[in-house]
Amino acid sequence: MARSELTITPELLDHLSNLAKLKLTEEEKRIFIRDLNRILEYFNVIDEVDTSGVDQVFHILGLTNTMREDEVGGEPLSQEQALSNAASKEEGYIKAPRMV
Amino acid sequence: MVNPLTLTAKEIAQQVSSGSLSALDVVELYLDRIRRLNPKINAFITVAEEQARRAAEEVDKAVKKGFRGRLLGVPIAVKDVISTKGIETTCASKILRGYVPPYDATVVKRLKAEGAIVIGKTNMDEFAMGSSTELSAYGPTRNPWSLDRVTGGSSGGSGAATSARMAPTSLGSDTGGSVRCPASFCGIVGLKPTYGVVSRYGLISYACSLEQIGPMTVDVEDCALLMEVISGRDGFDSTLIDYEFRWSYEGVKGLRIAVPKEFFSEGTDERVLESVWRVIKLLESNGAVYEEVSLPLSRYALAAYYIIAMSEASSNLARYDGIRYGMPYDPSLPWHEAFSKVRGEGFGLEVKRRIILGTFALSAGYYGRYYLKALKLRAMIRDQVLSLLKRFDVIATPTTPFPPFKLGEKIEDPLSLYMADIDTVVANLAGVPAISIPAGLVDGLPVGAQFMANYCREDVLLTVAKCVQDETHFDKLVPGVAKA
Repeated sequence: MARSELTITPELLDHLSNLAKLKLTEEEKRIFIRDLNRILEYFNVIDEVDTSGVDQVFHILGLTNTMREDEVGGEPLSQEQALSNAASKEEGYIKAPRMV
Repeated sequence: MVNPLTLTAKEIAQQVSSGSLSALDVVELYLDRIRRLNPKINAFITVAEEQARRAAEEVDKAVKKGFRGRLLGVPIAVKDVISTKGIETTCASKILRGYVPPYDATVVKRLKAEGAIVIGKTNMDEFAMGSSTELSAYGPTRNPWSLDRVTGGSSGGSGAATSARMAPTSLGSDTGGSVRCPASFCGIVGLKPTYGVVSRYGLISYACSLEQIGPMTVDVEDCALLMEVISGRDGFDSTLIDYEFRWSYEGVKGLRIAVPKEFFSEGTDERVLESVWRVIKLLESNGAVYEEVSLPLSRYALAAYYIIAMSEASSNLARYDGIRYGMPYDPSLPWHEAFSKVRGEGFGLEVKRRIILGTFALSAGYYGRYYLKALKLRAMIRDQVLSLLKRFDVIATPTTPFPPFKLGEKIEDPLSLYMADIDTVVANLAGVPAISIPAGLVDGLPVGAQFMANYCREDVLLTVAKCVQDETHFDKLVPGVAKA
């Protein structure tokens, strides 16, 4: 595939990997430039269908808002349980990486 | 002594209830089978040996005090995408290695309340993204029918564990065929319920609008039994509809079967087609009628499915940042580098591929062309399926276009692997229930027939399956490796 025909160029791939916060190795980038464009080419088959005037569907059975009483359901987790899988914590709080 | 090659969940529950078997005996029986067979098959990521023994002792104590349940002492193999309190749940990913959920998924809670015992967590494609169970950070699962073949996926560990009788029953999850494909490849029954009838609370999300947890069993009545236990309203999943599972078997006389020609075309292995036709003719000889029809939009189902699934995946998997669970982030890095690094190291290639494509399909400039367009197509496909189901009780198709393939055969080419889902994704897009039942062996390898029905008509699917089981005794099919 000539570079001019690529939908996903190396620059766009870098942009997507930044948006997704997903570091890719050089090898992965090479594989993805090849695969992703082939897959998109396959996806483009949907262009054949005229979907104008069709409503997009979110819940397939058309369910919208489901409400319940604003009460605690079941047995809530203790603080210790809720934090049990966090690698980094202090005084009952989860520690996140530096933001600034 | 009981024979685990023919024992059903229902019989186990009866025998534990009557006292002729203890739950602990049953658990030891299957743990022994797992010890002998799992090294060859790799169906389990975690064998919950100690937890299962403890649970069995609890059940036995409770039985003595008069406790009764529909799944008394029945071991269940649970796909590693379903949260189990106190038992490591990895989603077959490095990023969740060591994660021990502090709570049970609703389905697990319900199974336990009936006396069932989680015997282990089964292998799968990482985050349920795959169709062969080769894409696991814990190595591929091998097909019990032929150890150099794949089990199908993504619930291949559950398929193999059940087929090799390492557990009498199991749970899988089905986003685009992940229960039905491995059921087909492993020669067992797999049911994807109607969207919104089984709680997804505790199911680690891949594509929420498409997926459901479903039973994978040797025996059709066991499938019904599990469905009865796991389905129904749950305050923890707001996408559920009102539903009560009911089924009684009264044969297939007068059942109307639609046979859509698009699923029986040249792209499908002829031997698979012959097997499916044999099942259709068998139903006909039992009083069903069939008609060849067309489902033209099915041609676009696979593309629409993958666009929606990848889009939802890119959003759902944003939660893995190394902070609250799983592989820890590197505290010496600024936040965006810390997240990128942990995700880059923790996710496998296919998961990354889907996150990147999903991010693309949802990004400014492409959202309308891919994601919204796919959602509209989804509505059109649903309407076409429902209009067929006004005239017919079920739609019959192959489950997969080919029999189980060799390990490694398709791994380099993602598109060819996606093709494994071509017959199954329609049911997920439309939200209708679908079942895969064994349709015989092709060169010693199992293939499946798929049936779809209208919303909440799992009963019709089980009726079809029961008729075929009574006629062909597919429940007596046991792979050679399991007999040793």
